[in-house]
Amino acid sequence: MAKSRKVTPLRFYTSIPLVELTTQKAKNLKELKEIIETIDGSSIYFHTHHYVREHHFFSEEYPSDFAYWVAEILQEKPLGEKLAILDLRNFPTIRSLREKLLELIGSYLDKSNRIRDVLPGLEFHFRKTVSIIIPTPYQVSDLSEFRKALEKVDTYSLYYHLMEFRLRESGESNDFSAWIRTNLGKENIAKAIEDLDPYYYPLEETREKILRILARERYFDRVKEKLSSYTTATEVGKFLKSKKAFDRFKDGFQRLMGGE
Amino acid sequence: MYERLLEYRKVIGQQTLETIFRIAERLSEKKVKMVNSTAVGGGVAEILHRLVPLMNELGVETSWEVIKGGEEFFNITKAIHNSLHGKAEPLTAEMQKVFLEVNRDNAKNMSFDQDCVFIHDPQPIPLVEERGKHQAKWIWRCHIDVSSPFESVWDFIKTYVEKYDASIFSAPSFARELKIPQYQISPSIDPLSLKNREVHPREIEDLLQRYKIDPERPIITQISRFDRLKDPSGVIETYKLVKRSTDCQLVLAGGTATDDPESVEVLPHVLSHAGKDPDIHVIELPPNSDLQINVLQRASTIILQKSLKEGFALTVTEALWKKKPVVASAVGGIPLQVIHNYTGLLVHSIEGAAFKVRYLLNNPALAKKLGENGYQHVRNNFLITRHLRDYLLLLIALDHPGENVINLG
Repeated sequence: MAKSRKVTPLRFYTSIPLVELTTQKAKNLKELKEIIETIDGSSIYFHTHHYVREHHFFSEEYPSDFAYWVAEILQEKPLGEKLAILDLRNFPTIRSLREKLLELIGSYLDKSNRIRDVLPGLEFHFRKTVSIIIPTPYQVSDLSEFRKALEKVDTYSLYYHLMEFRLRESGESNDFSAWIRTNLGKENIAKAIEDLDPYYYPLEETREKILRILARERYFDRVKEKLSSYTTATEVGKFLKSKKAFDRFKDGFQRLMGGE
Repeated sequence: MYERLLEYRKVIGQQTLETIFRIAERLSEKKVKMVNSTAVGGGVAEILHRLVPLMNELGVETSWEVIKGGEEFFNITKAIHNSLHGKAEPLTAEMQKVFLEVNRDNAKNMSFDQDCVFIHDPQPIPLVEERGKHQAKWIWRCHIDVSSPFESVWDFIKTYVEKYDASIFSAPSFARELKIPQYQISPSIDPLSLKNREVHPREIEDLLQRYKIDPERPIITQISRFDRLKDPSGVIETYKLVKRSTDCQLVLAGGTATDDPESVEVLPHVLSHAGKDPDIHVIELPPNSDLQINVLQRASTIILQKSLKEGFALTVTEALWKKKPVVASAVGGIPLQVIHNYTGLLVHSIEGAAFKVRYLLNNPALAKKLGENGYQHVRNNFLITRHLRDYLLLLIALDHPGENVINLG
């Protein structure tokens, strides 16, 4: 049994975006780069993150406005592909992301011998986001409450705790994993949530994945409890009570579930 | 309580609806006024008719007033409107004087003691002269594309725009450089309205029968006023190019307005261009044809919007909402809605339109996927409930000028 811990409850928040126009626009890569160099960080944030926050179904293709515009509108496919594959989890700050974008566009421009303009009307318009963070009524102190709240909040809330929190804190982890690790000591659950790539899947799918992780861990706990209840009077009982038995069960279960 | 809003639950889900309630809780003391220049007709009035009751239901006390003016005033505002769209219609000093006087007369009979005043479009824009007299924040909500206006008229209007606390545009490409903050709030459709609600298959059968359209063969449809900027001739040419290799029918449906001499002129031209081809159906729709438009869109295989110039193009929003594959020109607000290869296909010429229509007719799986994506895109971004939410968020943002993160925790 886990040792009793002092739990700081987790309050679920939601972060809803309002879009502000900057009136800056680029018609080619050179202009795009120049504006990225100087524009407010909240604009870089908007164009790299709003796809996952708003366009849930696109995330399988172009995860950012920059990648989409460069590949599909400007038709500079090789650069568009480089921008598309960026793993946003590797950029703990907007500054580091801005630097990477500039490096990729800069080195592409150095190698290319012409600047192509898009047709009028298809320019890249820089926008930025104002995030309005509001607490939800859901405050949780254990995994069962956590699961129930997770089912009830909107996808903006998932976005806030999984992505926006990490950027705001310039941290390695997301808010859910950090809370589960620190307050509940459930390292396996914290790690499993960290291993998800929320930038890659629609947020609804990420919600389902987290709920599955919670259900699986709950099931494992029950199995562990059941196995430990066996008597050690017999050889079979001794085996069932051992860690080996549980590990074998767990391996079999994971194979059955396809690695989930 | 929340009787109207709860009807949207089945469309947007409980979670999204709850978020709207939570935002509104923060605004329960706020009073808002909307001002525009017409109570009926046109997209602005249509949106206000739906938004104002929803805001009141959420506890944000919202009133709506319409400015009054005579024929001379509205001729001037029409000239301003055309100039902001790029047509050179200079404003004489006398016209400016009448424009301002009518607005000042209106102001005498209006109160602005709310927390926030939304002025829609240029007609009532000089009311902002009242700004200093009250505590209200003033917002100019621009529904039109002012990106390439007739400059002298824009300069005149701009002196008023920059007196506001903030402005709202429907799309990034519609905006101009201004000294005040500019927000993007797209217009929206109401999924529960007659124009967008689900229809019974029987309603589709009846309508097709009435217009002698074959339900068994592909139907390509463009719904829009008979206006040169909607390029009805280009639509017919597109159809003819497709028809060379792929069987299909064309439906060109829209209204003509008696106060719009151009539409009366364009329709005969379209009819003569269509000739005697029995597969071209030019349908003149009377006013209040919302249900017919809905049914025609739902009966279609592909929706075309081959405009030369557009506003936001809510006809595209309506088509996407109905899960229809859309082939549309990359103009106005269309690229915000038709994300090329994801929610539809963008084109730049008659040939491009024909090529893409033919491609989709022969690739029904892709057409279906685009339609599904388009529906999700509208569900997430272009429904009245999102529009409502954005107005509420703006009311919050106005109390936190210059902040990128507003934490109400």
